[in-house]
Amino acid sequence: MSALRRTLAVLAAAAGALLLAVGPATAAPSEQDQEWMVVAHQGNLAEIAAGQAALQQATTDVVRQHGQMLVDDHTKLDADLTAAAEQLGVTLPSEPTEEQQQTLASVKAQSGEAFDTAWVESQIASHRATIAAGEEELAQGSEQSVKDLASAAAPVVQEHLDALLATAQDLGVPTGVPAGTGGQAASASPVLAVALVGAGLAAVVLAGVVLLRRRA
Amino acid sequence: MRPDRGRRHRRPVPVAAALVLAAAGAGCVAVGTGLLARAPALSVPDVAVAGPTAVAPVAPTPPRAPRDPSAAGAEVRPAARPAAPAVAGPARLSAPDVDVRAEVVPVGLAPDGALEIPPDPDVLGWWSAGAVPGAAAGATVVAAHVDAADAGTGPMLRLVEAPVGTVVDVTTTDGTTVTYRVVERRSYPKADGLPRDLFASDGPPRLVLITCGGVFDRAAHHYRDNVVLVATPGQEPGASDAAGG
Repeated sequence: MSALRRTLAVLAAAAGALLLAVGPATAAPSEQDQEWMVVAHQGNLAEIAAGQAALQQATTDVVRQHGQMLVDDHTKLDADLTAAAEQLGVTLPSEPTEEQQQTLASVKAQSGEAFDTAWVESQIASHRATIAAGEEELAQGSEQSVKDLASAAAPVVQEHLDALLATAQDLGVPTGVPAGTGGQAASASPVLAVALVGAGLAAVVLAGVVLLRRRA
Repeated sequence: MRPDRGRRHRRPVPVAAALVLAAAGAGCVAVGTGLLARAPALSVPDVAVAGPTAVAPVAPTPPRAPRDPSAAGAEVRPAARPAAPAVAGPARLSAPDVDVRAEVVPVGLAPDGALEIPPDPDVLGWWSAGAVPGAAAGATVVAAHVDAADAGTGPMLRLVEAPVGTVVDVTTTDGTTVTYRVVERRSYPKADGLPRDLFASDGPPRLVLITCGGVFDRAAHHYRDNVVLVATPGQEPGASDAAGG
């Protein structure tokens, strides 16, 4: 009996040791964690590039200030992220996505106030995407150190979004909605009617002139 | 006298020609004026249904918190993280009661500051620098042409003609559906522009649908008014399933 008990105790100890050894491996970043790290890193790179573009091209102080804020905050967020990635052995790309680069290029192609408006619009969209990705990581991620990164980034990105939405109100509320220039505008051109009236009036005037000359 | 006679010879011809010309001219003027004055093939009614009270006073309904924690007892759920903020833009808009089901795409501002409108009236444009459906505050602005030459009338016509109380469901790109109810219809002369508060990022959450209506101004080449529907988040789900939650 005691031999059996001793064997069981040894087995239990072995199993415990095995579990301890396996422990750190199960905490390795999941696919979701790794995907989020890549997305967040590329997001940071894109925001830093966009911030630099605002510093160079913006026509308003508020957009330049947003640009500086993005450069500062996303540089800081990315330093923490890249350090964690190195520790976890996650390889990160060195550039924003193709789409992010194209979006920034089209914003930079604008000039004057149109640049500021387009910049704010594109930043609102990208910050919303960043928030959505962070929420997905918080809900579905497994590695706590990665979730902590997402958790730390969330309020910073939300603050950016709130500031951008407020700025959009200041410089980009639609001045009009030309929703009625399609339809009849395209189908029922008044050109013919105007031409008829014009030609008709000209003919009447011409005839009048001829008749008056004759009378004189 | 001789030159006079020569002139007299030719006289009947120009007079007759002039008379014919005058008659033809008058005819042209009449036809042209008739074309210009013709009633538009389509006109959206100008109706102000509810007073200007509907937007402001609709308070956002906060999630009901248990007033007495001890009494709430079993209803208290294990509170995990706070709900994720709404960040997904609209992808589809439907109003089953008036047979509306349309795609929604994000739009921005044109260089002249006007909202870009999708050319196809079947596609609605969401102002992407405004609020998203389900946001805690602000206006989610969706605009579209009421009709187009090659496509006929779009869903916006059925929407602006829909009665107050009509349910409008907006489904976002992440699959969440937010249900609204039309509370107000207003129209604004385009010449005066639209009030800024229609686009405000603060104030109660609301859906603002904008299209055109009123008299079609042939000379100016567009409808004279913007018709605006305001809808607030409703309590009851619409006919379509509310995914997420």
